[in-house]
Amino acid sequence: MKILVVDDSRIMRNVLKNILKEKQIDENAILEAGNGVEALEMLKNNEVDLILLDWNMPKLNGIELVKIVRNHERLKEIPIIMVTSEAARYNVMEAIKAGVTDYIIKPIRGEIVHKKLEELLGQ
Amino acid sequence: MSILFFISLAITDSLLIYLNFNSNTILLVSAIIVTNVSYLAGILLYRKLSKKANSLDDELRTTREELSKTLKEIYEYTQTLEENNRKIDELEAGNISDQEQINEILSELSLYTNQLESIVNTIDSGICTIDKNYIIQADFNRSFKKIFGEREYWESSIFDTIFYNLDPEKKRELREFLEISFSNSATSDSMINAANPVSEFIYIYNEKGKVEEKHISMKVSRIFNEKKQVEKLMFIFTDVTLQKLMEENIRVKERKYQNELELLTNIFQYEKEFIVSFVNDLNERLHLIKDKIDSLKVDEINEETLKEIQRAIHSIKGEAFSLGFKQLAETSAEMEEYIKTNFKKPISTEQNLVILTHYTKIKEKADQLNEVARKIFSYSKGEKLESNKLYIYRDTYNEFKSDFKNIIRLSEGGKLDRKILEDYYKKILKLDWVSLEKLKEELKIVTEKTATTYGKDVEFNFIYDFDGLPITTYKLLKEVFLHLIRNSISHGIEEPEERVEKGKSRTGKINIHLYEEDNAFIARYSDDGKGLDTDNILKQAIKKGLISEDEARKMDEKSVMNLIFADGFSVKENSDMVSGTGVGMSIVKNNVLYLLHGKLTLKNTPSRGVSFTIKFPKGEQNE
Repeated sequence: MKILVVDDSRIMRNVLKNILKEKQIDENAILEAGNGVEALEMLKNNEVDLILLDWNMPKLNGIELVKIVRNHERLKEIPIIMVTSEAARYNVMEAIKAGVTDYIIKPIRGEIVHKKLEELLGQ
Repeated sequence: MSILFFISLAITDSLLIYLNFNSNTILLVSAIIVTNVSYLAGILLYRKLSKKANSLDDELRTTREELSKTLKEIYEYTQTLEENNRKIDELEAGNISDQEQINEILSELSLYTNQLESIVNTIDSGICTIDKNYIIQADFNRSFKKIFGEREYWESSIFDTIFYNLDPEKKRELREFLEISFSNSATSDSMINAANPVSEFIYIYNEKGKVEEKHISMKVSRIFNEKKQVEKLMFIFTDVTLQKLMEENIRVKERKYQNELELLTNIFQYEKEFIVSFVNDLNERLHLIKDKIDSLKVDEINEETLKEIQRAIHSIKGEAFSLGFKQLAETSAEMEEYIKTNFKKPISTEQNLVILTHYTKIKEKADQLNEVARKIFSYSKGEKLESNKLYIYRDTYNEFKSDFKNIIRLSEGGKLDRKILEDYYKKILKLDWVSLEKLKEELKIVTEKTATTYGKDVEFNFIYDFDGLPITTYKLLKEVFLHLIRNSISHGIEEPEERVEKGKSRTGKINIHLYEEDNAFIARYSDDGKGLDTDNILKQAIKKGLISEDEARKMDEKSVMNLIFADGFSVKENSDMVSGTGVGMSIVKNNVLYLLHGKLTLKNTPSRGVSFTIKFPKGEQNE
C-alpha cells in the first residue's frame, strides 16, 4: 500500500507523515511531492492507494491535479483527500465537482486523518 | 452535550458500513437512524432546555439520562441490524437450504423491519427521499408532515413545496448542489453536507389558518443502487425553531450579564465619589447629545451640531475606557465613528434614525450603569457608604453568583465562551473577600474611641502577612478582636500615671499580628497591661456562683484562666456601656472554637500583659 502526500510545505508534509506513521504505516509506503507536477511524476511511477493533497501549490495546484487524475484511465479510482484551509461552501463545491473523495480542514488533527484513512482504506 | 454528540457520531460511523450492501428497506431505515442520532440528541436536549430554563441543574441531568437511554436503544437496534445483515448474506449465498429456517429468518426480519419503521415514525425529524427530478417520493414519515403540513407532497418537486419560499439565488445554488450530490457518488457524505447551501432555512408553514415561521435544518444522505450510483437523495429535516430561540435568549442573557458584571467589578475598584461624578457627567452629556440630535435638520449639513455631539461622545468614550467600562466605551466609539463620517454631508431621515439608534444603545448601557451604581451606593437616598461596602451588598452578590452558576452551566452547550464566564465568576468570588487593611482601619478607630472613653493612652499596632479574608471569617474575627480590645483597655492597660509609676511607658500597647501557617490562619493578640488578676477572677467567679470556694482552692492557674471564657463571667462589679456585661469573652470563645473551628490559647504574664493566640483553618473558600 502506498500513500502520496502532496504539499509545497515541507513542514506540513512532515506533520502528515508523522500522523501516518502513528497508524503503523511504513515510512517507505509514504511518498512525497512538493507540487502537482512532482505528484504526477510520482503517480506515473508508482501504484498509489491514496492521495493526501494540499489545495494551493505552485506549478500545478491541488484541484487541477484532481481533474487530471480523474481523467486518467489508470489513476481515476484513487481516493483523494484534500487537506485544506479553504472551508467555504463554494470551495467545497469546487472540490466535489473536480472529484475529490473527502476533505480535511486545517489545522490538521491526527485523529481526523486516522478516521478518514480507516473509512477509505479499511484497517 | 458535546460528549453525547461524540458518542452518537461514533455510532453513526459504525452504521455507515451498512450503507453499501443490503436490501432496500433495511438500507433506508439504517440510513435514517444513522443521520438522526445526533439530531435526536440535540432536539431532546433543547426541548428540555427550553421548557424550563430556570431549574437547569435537574433538567440537564434528566436530559442526559434520557439521551443516553435513547442512544442505547438506537445502538441496540444497530446490533440487530448487523445480525440481520449477516442472515441476509447467508440467505443470498445460499448457505441455508432448510425452508423452515428460511421462513423463520424472514419472519424475524419482517418483525425487525416493522420495529425500525415504527422508530422512523416516532422520530422527531422529518424524512423524505427525492429522485433525480427532485420529486418527493411516497416514503416520507409522520414528522415530515408535522413539519411541513398535511399537504399532498407525493410526486411534486421540492422546489414547489419544501423550498417554495426560498429566494431565486438560493434555489439556483440548491439545484447545483443537488446535481453534484447525484453525480459524485465517490465523495463522502460529510463533504457533500459541507457544500449544502440550505443546511438551515426558514419555512413558512401555512395551514388551517395557522401561519408559522419555522427554522429548519437539513441534512442529506445518499442512497446507492447496485452499481454504486446515487439512486435517491434522502433529506432529514429537523425543526430547530426552539433551539434558535434558546440560543438567542442565551446570547441576550449572556450579554446582559457580562455587561452588568463588568460594571459591578469596575465600580468596586473605585471610590464612590469617583464613580458618582462619572455617572453624573455621563447623564449630563447624554442629555446634551439627545438635545442636539433633536435639533438636527434633515437634508441639511449639520456640521456644528454634529461636532458638538461628537465631542460629548468622545469624552464619554475616553472616560468609560479609562475606567474600564468596555461595552460603554465600544458603543460610544461606534457612534463617534459614524458621526465623524457624516460631518460634511446633508443628513437624510435614515441617517438621522441611525444616529438616534446609536444614541439609544449608549443610553441603554448608561442606564444599566446608573442602575448598578445606585444599587451599590444607594446614593439617591443620601446614605453614607460604610467603610466596608461589601456588608450591605451581599445579597446582590449572591444573586449574581447564583445567576452566573446557571449561565456557566448553560455554556456547557458549547455556545458560550466558558472561559470568559468563569473569569467573571472568579472576579465575583473575589468580591467576597475583605482586605485586612479594612480590618486594621476599623479596629484602629475602635481602639482610639475606647481609649478616649477610659482616659487611657493606647498605641495600636496591626501587622498582617496576607491580603484578605472571606467576609464571613472576617466578621467573626473582627468581633473577637473588638472584645479583646475592649477588655484590654478597660481591664488590662493601666492609666498613664500608674504605668509611669510602674516604670512602663506612658502609652499602652495593643499588638495584632495576622499570618498564615500551612493550612491555617494565625492571629496573635497581645497587650502590655497588668495581666489577669487570678485572685480577682476567683473571687468574682465564686461571687457569680460559677464555682465554689472549695473548688477555687483546688484550681491550677490554667483552669483559673479558663474561667474568663465562661458565660456570664465578668471581673467588673458593674457593667458599663463598653465592657463588663460578662458575655464578651464567651463570644470570643464561641467564635473561635465553634464558628471558626479554631483553637484559642491564652498566656498571662502578671504585670507584663496578656496574649491570645487564635489559630483557625483556612476553609475551602479561603484557599
